Amino acid sequence: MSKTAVIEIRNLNFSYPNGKGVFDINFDVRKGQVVGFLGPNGAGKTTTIRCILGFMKGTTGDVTIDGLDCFKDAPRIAHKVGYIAGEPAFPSGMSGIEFLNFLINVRVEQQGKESSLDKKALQERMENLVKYFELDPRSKIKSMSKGMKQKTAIIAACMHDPDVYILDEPSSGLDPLMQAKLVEFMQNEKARGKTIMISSHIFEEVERMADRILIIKDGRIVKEDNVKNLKNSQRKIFNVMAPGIVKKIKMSKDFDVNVVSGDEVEILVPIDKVNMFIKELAKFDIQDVTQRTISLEEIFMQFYESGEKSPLLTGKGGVS
Amino acid sequence: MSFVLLKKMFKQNAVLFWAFVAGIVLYYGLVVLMYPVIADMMEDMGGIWAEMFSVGRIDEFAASMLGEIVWMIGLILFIMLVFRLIYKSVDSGSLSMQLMAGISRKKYIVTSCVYLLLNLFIIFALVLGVGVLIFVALGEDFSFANYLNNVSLAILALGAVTAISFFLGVILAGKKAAAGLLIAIPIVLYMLLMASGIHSSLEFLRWVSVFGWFVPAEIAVGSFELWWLVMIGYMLLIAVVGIVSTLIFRKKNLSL
Repeated sequence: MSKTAVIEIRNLNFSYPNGKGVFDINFDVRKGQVVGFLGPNGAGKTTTIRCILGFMKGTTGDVTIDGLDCFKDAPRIAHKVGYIAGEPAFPSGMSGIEFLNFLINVRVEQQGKESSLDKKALQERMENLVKYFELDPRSKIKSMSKGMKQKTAIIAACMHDPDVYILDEPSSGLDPLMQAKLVEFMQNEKARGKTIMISSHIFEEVERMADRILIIKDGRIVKEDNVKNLKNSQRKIFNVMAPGIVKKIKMSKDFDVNVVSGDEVEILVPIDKVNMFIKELAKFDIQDVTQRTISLEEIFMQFYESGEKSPLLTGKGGVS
Repeated sequence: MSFVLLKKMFKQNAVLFWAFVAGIVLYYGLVVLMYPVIADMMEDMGGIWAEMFSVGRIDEFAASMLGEIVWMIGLILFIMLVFRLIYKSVDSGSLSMQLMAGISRKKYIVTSCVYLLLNLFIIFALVLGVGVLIFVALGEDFSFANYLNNVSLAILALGAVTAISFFLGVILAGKKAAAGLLIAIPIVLYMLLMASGIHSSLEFLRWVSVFGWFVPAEIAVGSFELWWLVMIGYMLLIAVVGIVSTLIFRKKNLSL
């Protein structure tokens, strides 16, 4: 195991009868790190997560948390991990509070002897989380809204103060206010040294939390980098408004130019060519210029629309 | 085993369980009130029907006390319990929360087995106790030993079918289209027993159906001496199927 790796996946393969699955997955998540796991439906995110949680065993390969085999040692792993599913399912007939108390009793029963788990401390943390996420846990889970159910699942996953969080679409069904609260909570947990792996379609959420991004496509990891590098390695996007710019533009072939309207263009500029671009731009009668950094969503979409050799990612020039 | 989980299983399925217990008690009430009429009706139905419902000795009150309806009620109850405990908890994904709380798969499956066995025992005690009380209250002439054997075998037969359902639940858990099969197979086993009584050439079907390993009426009148062998057979079946189900469930990939 790597010195500080908490989650470690080596040569993981798992295939379904329809040929889909995950193939040769390799990555580490270090202690205190937040990793964003991105990919569309069917790319292999959930299968990978199921292997990490010990629900499935890879055909080949090793999946470990703190050196423990995720399948063989699943009950011990459960002590360390908090898992939030996007569509949580609950045992029938229970109210929120009955369910949360049931989980506390199970944890105390199952872990009590081998750890210093204290029922009172668990209940106190549960009550704090109930207040923080503004949940009324007295109603029956069956009659709860999607958002309320999600809050119950979040509290269930966090109340034993796990060292590792596995979040699979964690803010699904939450209103924007609660989504922000969840991000804030996870940022605090990160500051406390917790290790977090998040899979989400809300890129802003991942961008705010993650240090590192993994992009999975057709069951294979196609990109792995930290967020800063990933964004800095991409080109800057400039929107320029200048009379006649579309006709007159004779930019270097290093830039991509997309025509927005008659006098407005969007220009993609590689990081090392920004100075040159500014000099070129000075030749025009500029009415307006805005610059923005490529978002995580755009990076992701480029991977999925045209692969890693997309102009946005590689800096290959052109006019469209 | 997890006592917390066991308690939850009892609580979660209490309404279902006691509704079925009420059904059995209601059946007993009807038998006690209408026994002579029922016996006449069954005799009027003729040989095939009487054979199909294994009530060839309907003239024996003790046989009627453990008639087909008790089996049917038990069969439906235990299929539903297995469906909830195994198939539905995997299919809905609710098992994931329990596994993530630190319950191992082995503990989950063993606790489920213990829960089902305890339910069987409650049904056994109820059927035995209420039956004996009725015999005594009505001043019927009956052999306690024969009645005990009869009830024990009937409950063990239910246990064997429950074990088969349990095994199917473990195998089919996570396969959405398979729910019907889980419900159908135990019922098919029971229908095989019924079919075996239609004609002598179909007699062999009785041995395919785990229900047909004994005839309650024969035990009630003490004419079936191999009850202990059948009892051991059922116990072995329950134990083997239980162990195999546990081993499979521990290794199974769960789409939770």
